[in-house]
Order: sequence, then structure tokens, then C-alpha cells
Amino acid sequence: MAVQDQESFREAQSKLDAKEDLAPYMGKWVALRNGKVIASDLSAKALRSQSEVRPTDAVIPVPRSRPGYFIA
Amino acid sequence: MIAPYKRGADGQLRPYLLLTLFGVKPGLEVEILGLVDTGADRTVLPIDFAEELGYTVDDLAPREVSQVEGSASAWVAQKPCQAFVDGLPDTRFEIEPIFVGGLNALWGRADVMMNFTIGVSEKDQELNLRPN
Repeated sequence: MAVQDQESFREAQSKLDAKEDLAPYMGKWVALRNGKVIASDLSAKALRSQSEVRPTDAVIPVPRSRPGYFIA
Repeated sequence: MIAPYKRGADGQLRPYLLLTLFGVKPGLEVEILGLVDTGADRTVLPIDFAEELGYTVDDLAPREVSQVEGSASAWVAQKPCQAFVDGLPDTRFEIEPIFVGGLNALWGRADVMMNFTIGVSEKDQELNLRPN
């Protein structure tokens, strides 16, 4: 059970939905806006400090390993 | 220890617990208010806390998480951080959080509830925590 507004959850999740292949960014953090990569960096802090990254952009890691599955 | 329900961002009283987490790099310490969630296999934290706790990309593994609001993108910590519950600083335990976008902090079974037996009294609006 999670206390969460479904709409805000879906909105937050949609911001994380990349509309391009993130393979070139493996090992980095990327800033996404409307699903597109705006910038990338080795650290999230450095990425957020880049001038083209807005506070509203989603900043996510792009690990090298493949996805698995989990139930929360 | 009795922990009264706390108010969340929406002002409602719920079984929230305040935990202090020590990051994977020295000097990183974050206080997080999360909901005790028996439905969560393990602790879930918003993705922004990954950075605050010192996790690098290589410390995270991608996962798809299934929960009540649907499927979510998530990243599982590959190394633990140390934690204690507010008011019980001598009982330290490890948490390997799952970081998720768009979810609030949820204290799960494999870490928080593995270290504490937790009773919930909705009538009295309080949690009863006993270290295991």
C-alpha cells in the first residue's frame, strides 16, 4: 500500500519514460525532458549544475546492468 | 517504543516513521519520513535520495517495480546504507533501498521490519516498535 495520488504518480513516471535509446549513456546520469535526453554526466550533482538542465527535468541513472522485477 | 502516527504532506495522520540514513560515502546523513508498509518487500525511496545518499550509477541496478499504482521504473541499491529509527539510535541496521520515481518513502519488510517487530494500533494512532 502506498499513499499516493495516482495522477501524480503517473505524471512522475511518465517523466522517467525515455523516448530514445539510453544505451549510449550507460554508466551516466541523464536529464530527461519530454522523454528526450537533454544532458548527461557522471554524477547527478554535476548534471543538475549544467545550464541546460531545468529543475523540472527528470534526472535518472542509466546503469550498465539489465532490468529485473520486484513487487512493492 | 511507542511512536505516534505522524502527519504526511497531505496533513493526514498515518503510520509514518522518521529514520536517519547514513549514505554510502562518509558524512552523508539524511532524515527521511516514510510510511510503514507491510506490502513492500523492501524499502522504497524516491529516486532523488540516491544522490543524497552517495550512490553512483554503478551502485544501482535497474528494476521494474509492480505496486498498486501500476508498474514503475526503479533502481536497486547494490550496497547498503546504515539506518536507525528516530528515538532508537542504538539499534542500527542496513537498508538496500529501491529507488523509484513518483513514490513516497516506504519502509519495507526485508530491512526495517526484519529488525523490528512492529505493531500498528489504528485505534490509538500509534506504532509499537520492538527491536528484534
